[in-house]
Amino acid sequence: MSNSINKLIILSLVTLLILPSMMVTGCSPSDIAKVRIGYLLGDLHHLPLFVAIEKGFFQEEGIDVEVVGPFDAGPAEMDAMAAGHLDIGYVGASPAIMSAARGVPLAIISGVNQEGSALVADKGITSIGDLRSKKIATPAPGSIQHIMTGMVLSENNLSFKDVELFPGTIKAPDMPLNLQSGRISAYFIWEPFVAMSVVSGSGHVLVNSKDIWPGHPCCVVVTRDEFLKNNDREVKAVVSAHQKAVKFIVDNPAESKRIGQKYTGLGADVIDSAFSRVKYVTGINNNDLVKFVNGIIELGENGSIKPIITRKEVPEADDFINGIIDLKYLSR
Amino acid sequence: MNSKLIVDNISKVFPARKMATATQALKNFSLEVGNGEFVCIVGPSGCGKTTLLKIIAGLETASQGSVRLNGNKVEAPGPERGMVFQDFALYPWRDVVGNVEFGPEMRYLPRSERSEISQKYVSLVGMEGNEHKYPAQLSGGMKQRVAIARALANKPDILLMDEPFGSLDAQTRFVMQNELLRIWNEDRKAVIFVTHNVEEAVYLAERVVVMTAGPGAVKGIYPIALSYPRSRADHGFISLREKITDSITEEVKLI
Amino acid sequence: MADLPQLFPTPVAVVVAFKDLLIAEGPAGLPWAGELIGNMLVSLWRVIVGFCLAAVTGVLLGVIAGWWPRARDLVEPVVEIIRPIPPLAWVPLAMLWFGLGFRPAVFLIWLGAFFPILSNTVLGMESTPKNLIEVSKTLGANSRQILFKVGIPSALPSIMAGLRIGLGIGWMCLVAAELTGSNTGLGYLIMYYYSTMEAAKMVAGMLTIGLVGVLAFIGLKKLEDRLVFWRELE
Repeated sequence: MSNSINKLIILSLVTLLILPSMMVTGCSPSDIAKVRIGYLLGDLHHLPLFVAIEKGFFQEEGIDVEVVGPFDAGPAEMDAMAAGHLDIGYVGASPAIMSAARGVPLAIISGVNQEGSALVADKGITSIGDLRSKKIATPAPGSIQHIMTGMVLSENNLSFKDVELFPGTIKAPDMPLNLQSGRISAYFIWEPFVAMSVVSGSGHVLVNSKDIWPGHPCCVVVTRDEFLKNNDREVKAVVSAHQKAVKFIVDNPAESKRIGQKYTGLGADVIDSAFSRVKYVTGINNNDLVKFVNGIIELGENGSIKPIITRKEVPEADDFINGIIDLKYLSR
Repeated sequence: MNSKLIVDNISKVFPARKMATATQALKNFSLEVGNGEFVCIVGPSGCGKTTLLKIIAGLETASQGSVRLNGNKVEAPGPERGMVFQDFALYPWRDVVGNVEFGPEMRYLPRSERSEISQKYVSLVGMEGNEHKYPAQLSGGMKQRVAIARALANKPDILLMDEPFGSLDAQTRFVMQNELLRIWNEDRKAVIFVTHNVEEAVYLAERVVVMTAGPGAVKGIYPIALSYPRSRADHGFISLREKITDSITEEVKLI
Repeated sequence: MADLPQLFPTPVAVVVAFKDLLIAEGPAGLPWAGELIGNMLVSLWRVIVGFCLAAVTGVLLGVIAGWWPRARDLVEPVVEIIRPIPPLAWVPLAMLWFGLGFRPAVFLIWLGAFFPILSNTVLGMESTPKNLIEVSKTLGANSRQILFKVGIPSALPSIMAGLRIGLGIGWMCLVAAELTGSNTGLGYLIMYYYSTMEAAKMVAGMLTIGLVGVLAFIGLKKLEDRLVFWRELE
């Protein structure tokens, strides 16, 4: 009797230990029917993905795509990729870099956009100095917007300790409402969540991200190393379709805006306003990413933020970035 | 007779409810119980014995007729009519003393007076040494001793007992019957004791009231002219027992 | 999978994370307490306030609704509609109504703890043995005395069980509450290290939630055993 109970306990423990790894490794990448592509909730930076779908660029390249998501935030998307549930991701450069720094084998295969974020504040706040002891929301710690908030504060002789920061616990789509209701005084976010407050009149752009760091990196297309190795044709096809979409957006802003409206469910005025701040580009400047990585490491070292990436994980930012960027699929 | 309790022509109808039709539990029941008298009520099950006791206690109201104690009409429960239930109904969170003192406590008697009372009745029912035990730590017989002490601690004029020994084993039951007679002898309260056990009734009571099958009415009243302590093997005891048993059996056949 | 420490931290990594979190600077107002203890204190305070509010309101309303059938008929329909809504579903509304940080967390904890406390109290009051009520009447107790001296003590085991369940659910709601709209507390700590993909620290935070939850549970169980000791005597 007790013997069989023991066996049962051991069996269930073993199952408990094995099950997660089975779930992670369950789907082998070579027999995929569709390429699984992830994206973030309502993020206008990911417009090329939707243009490519709308305009049939993926079919033209001969691949079938399954859109996975939306994810609330980049880290969740990168976790899904690390666990093998995603093949390709439209995601911020920062979560991709963080994931790579933690040892997840991945490659950045294209840029999506540069710039396109802003620090939005309520009407009563007219200078960075006014932000002292105010509540400010940013995306996840270590995100480009989080780091740039730190940069813009320090340029004005403030630090994270001088404000009340909510890094990552207020979702991007919730930020405009929280600003409007006065729960927070400012937020640093990507489009279209800047434009929403600007158009509704509940907030104004205090600083554009391009004025803090011209041409700063933002979203990228990422894939798992394993997928890259075994699915050369699919990766090439996705990158080509993506490249066509970015070119389409640049060449046909009016129609692209309509697709943007359809995809975010927002009005033409909001999309118009948002478009004025986003730069869709497939190219990536390695030096900008190196600068970004070094920035995160230094902020952690000088105590401005909790250390997020350390020198132990990334001894040489140059080597690290060059190791994860693989732009050979982009046609010139 | 210097009568203290008068049950006058009581009827009780339970009105129809969702699932049940109206039932008449008691019909024109009358009874007088004298000062310090020990009366047992026996009858077939379902004859309304418990309903009768609850009406006397004031827990139920009669549809017709009245109950008077010392000339006062009974309309609600009161401490002058103590009640003892078959399942003891002790407060499990109170110890023996706490249970016995419940009545005095409800009347806001001072602590010293309360403990005087509880001491007296705890020892009357033979529970000395168990004052601080909780009901869960007591046997069935001990629980019923506590329940009796609790009822007596209110110094009632009459004790209403609803099959108090029904859930006890035979040995304990005999002991408790003798104990009850001893207590009654010392305390001299009137007792109405409901039971379905004829032998118990004949052993205890000065008068045995036999009820008809439902709706309950008085079928017959049997004075038990045997002196205490009684012997169950006594010829007079056996013949009374048989007579009353036959009377009840007739009622059971009618059902 | 072993080469994905961000998904499966080793026990050693978790121990190191514990140490790091104990040393690191605590949240605003509690820098001396360390990151782990400081955020735990913040969470604990939220739970204590939310749980006490739930205990007071739940027991009070439960006693009333469990004792007077007419009150129950008023309360029951409302409760039955709201009860099945998972506390998590209230998170966005909690933020809208109560803003950020302390107040929405207290609201969500209250919400999670309230219903089990209420329904167990109602159940306890309703199942006061009828014969105890009757015998009390014959012993001269008035209706107020019967409520306080019979109904409530008799319902106490059920009330305590409700408090225990309520504390457990409240503690779970705490994490849900702090995952959004908060910048302190153990839920925030977990969310933070989830965002930065430091699973070892995340696990350390989760274990702390479990540990404190168990300790609170044991404490309440001890109190319960003391208050309803008579249940254990047999």
